[in-house]
Amino acid sequence: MTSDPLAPIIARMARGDRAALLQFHAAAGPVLFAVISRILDSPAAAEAALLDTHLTLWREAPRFAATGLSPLAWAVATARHHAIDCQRAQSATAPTATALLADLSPEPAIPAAAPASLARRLAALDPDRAEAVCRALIRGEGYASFAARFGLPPDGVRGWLRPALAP
Amino acid sequence: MTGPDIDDEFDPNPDEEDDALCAEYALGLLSVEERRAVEARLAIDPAFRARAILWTEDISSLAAALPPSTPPPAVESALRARLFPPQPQGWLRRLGILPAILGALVAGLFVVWANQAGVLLPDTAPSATWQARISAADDSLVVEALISPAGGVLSLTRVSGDAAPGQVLALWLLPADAAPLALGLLPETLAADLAFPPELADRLPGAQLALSDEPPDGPPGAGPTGPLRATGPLTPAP
Repeated sequence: MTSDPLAPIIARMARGDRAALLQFHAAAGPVLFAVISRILDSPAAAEAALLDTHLTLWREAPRFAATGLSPLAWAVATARHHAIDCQRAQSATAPTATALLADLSPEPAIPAAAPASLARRLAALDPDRAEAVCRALIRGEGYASFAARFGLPPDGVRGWLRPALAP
Repeated sequence: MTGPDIDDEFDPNPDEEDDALCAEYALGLLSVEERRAVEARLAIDPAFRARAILWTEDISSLAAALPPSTPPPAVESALRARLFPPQPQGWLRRLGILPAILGALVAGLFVVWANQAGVLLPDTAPSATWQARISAADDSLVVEALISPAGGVLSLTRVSGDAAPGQVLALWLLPADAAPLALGLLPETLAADLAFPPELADRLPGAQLALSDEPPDGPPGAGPTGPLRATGPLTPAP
């Protein structure tokens, strides 16, 4: 991963180089904002989540090497986890609005250029489970959302999806 | 019997169970408590960690394949404000440009009077401006400086790098043939002006500027405490 242009920037962040975080934002911001914007519908919430993600990455930069992750996976995973936390916190207060927006937006598609093993696995799944995985991946939806969408009992939805994740 | 116990009985293969857990973790399907438990296990279980890394790389590369979307400029502004908080403003700054306007007015009146009275001398040495790019050998620390000795102002712009954790950066003038002279500590802002003692103006030709890490209260002695992290020769500014 030495050729990754983000790696030296993260190393500088780990040394407390504040200008490096601005460079990180310039380099990785568009990817992270795309990921976060799919999970959080409100532009203001997405902007706040991106800022929070940057500040978390800044704090965690000294421990980046110990995660064993590539720079982009580290950043994207941090952004997704934070955005999903924000989304769950929002939907606890306004479930109807979130559900409505999810219904209005087009069905998330599997990214065409996916090199990953999950993409092959998705192709072998039935349409409902494949859609559930895509919705989790792209929109950050969770089991409660799948139970409502696919008409499953709330305590049965996990057992419905889990075998599809690791067959 | 509760749900998770039934799940455990149905799934006799702990590897598959771990794989599904890592997939749920990477997808973000776990509750906050479950995620904390997974993260605690990552720190102590290398096989589990390797599995989670594969899943996280997989999910992240899929998510990163979305078309990039440029964040609004407000995010960068907010980031700058967090990283380089503005200095508390003194009373002079709160007045804005009023002092400058008054100063210009007084100076203008003085010139009118001086011309009429023949007070102004022919041009002496023009008040030169000096510049320096103070950089570490590997560019891990770069600060640009501009000195206007006549105006008593030293303007600094941080390009990259920062003080070591818990330290502050101190700026030094290194005259060609004398010990380092302290010019002050760098404020936390991205750009800052320091006062430049006009009496040091004749020490600038042939001199260098340098930066060192110092304790937060500044260097305890007359010279730099640690090694000079970055240096740069002063040259006349165009």
